[in-house]
Amino acid sequence: MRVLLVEDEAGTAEILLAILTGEGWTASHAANGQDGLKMAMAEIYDVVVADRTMPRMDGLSMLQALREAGVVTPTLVLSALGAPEQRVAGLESGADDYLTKPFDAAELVARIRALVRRTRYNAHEKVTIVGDLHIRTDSKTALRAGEPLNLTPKEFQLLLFLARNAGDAVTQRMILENVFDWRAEADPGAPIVPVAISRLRAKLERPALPEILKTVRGKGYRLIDPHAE
Amino acid sequence: MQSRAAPKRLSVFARMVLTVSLVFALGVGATLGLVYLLMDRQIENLLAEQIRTDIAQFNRIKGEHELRRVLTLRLQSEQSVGGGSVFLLQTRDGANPRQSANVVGVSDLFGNVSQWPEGLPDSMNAPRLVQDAGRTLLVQSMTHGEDLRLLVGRDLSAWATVRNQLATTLLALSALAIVFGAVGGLLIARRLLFRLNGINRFCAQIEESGLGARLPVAARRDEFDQLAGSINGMLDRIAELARLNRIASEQIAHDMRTPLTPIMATLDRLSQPGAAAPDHEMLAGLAEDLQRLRGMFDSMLEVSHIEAGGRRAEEPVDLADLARDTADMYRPWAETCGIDIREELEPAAMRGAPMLLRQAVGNLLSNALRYQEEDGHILLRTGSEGGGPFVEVIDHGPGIPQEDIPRVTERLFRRAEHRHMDGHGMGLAFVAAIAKAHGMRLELLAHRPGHAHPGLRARLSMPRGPDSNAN
Repeated sequence: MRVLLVEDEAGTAEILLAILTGEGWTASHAANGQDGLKMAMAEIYDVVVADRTMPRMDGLSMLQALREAGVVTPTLVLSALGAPEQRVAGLESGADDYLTKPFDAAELVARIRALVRRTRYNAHEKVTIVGDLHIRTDSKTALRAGEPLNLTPKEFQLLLFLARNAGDAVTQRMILENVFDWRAEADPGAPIVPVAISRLRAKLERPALPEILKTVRGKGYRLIDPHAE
Repeated sequence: MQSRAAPKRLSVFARMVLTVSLVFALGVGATLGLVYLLMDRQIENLLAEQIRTDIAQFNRIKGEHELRRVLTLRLQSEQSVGGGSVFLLQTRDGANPRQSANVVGVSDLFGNVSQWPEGLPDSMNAPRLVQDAGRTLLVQSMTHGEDLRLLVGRDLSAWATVRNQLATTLLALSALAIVFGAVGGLLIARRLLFRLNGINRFCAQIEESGLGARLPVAARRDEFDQLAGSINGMLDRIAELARLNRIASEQIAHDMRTPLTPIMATLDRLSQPGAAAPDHEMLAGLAEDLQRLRGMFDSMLEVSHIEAGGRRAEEPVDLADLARDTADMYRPWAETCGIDIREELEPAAMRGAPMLLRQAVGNLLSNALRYQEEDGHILLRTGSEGGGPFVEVIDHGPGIPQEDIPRVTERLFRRAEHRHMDGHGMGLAFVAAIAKAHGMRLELLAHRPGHAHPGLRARLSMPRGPDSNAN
């Protein structure tokens, strides 16, 4: 995967580049918005990771210029500004995801993966299949090895989110944001995600079948196709 | 302080006095000018009336002889007593009437006007102003008999003295008005400035002596008292903020020390010469402690951001729907704790940022869940009271001691006995910040006062319902 990192702060850029290349990805770096814009227009990247506040041209202006030029490369904006209207402004200028600093390496990596995936799968796809798991979005039903699972609407949404990111870890923050409509910056004050996962697991896993919903320590949760791994 | 206030005071003072006296003098001047004009008109009308009476009288006289007799009498009386009447009798072709032996004192020209005014017709319906030998006359002409014309009028010069006196009096009055205006302006300005200076001195004093002092507010509640009240209110708010800030700083310092201590200890041990290489577990512990620190920083930043105004991303929201969703989100955890979340949800429409409102309801729920004993229930209610939407969460836990309630919403405040519990103590501070950003009120009340477990009723409400008509 080719990632373009646009970040003005040398120290932060170094760490981010280490994280990105640590995943085995090819990472290019631009030190300001203008250079970032030039590079993003000149070459094809799978994803752009851009800081919001930068000298010369800030991340949002760069993104706007990029979108106006017809470049639709999925973009994640990094920012120390986490207030809701800041996030809205970020998403309105064309960001596909918005991550507030500081963040974990795992959070960044998981979000980049989900972002690239989201642009690849068809959101209107009626059936999502992961191994022996069949999820039908039109009837909101899920089957494990042909047997229907009795899921609540939230559990169904959670399973669908995991399935659409199958193979990759999704973090608690991502689940809170995407499944529960919860602000990623806010602490829910209760183990909402672990409890939801354990309930889903109780309905999903069968003693006779291989385990498919894994906990990835320090990273989050991962739905796998046991035969593909 | 005085030197700084002085130039401004002078200019305001001077402007006030000038404006008041000018406006007053202009008003009085205009009034008197009007009086003068009206009186002038009145005099002319009066004279015109007299002329008409004369003309009517002369019209009734039959024969030239009789006319001459009457005119002679009038002219004689005019000469001896005066009165400003003027007459001129002529034949229509402009020659003087035929001399008569019994007319006394009037020689070739019969009358006391030097000549028939140029262009004046022989007969007129209304009097008009003409000049004659340096006099201004108001005259009207009439014909008499076959071949005579008569000019009847009044000499306005006689009135000139009266007019001059009137003008002088009015001017004197205007001058007096300017003086009175100036004095009045001075008095008003001095009164205003006296009170303004009081406030000024007080503010200067605040700069020096701190936020403790308050302005006196008199019972009359005039604008200055309102200003004093506003300033006092502002000072209360500033003092409260300063106090909160101090408490928050102390709390932050204290709470930061807690996770910092083990981090420092571990790093200290690792940096000793000959220390064992750090193992995975040790590093994970360090990371966890740092994570906690970061969480606290994030939360504090967040609260300030929200307080600074998260209202821009707002849209119509029904608190009932939002509360139902949020309850669904927390219910699995509540069930794990053996607690039932009950709902009494009535529509409660308002405008707001749904993400923030959901967080507020979530924080109230997680707070209630933390303090609710096992096998109990907590109640989630929404609705509209007096047009103001509200949401409230009621638990049956230990509640909050009366004296702690005002401080609970302060940042990082946690009652000492609950310090061991998790959470950064920010929950209610978040709710308070979100409430403030939405113009809502957060109330914390004992649900069952006097009970061993009084419980807590945390209520978020819109004081009046300006937005409740939105949908």
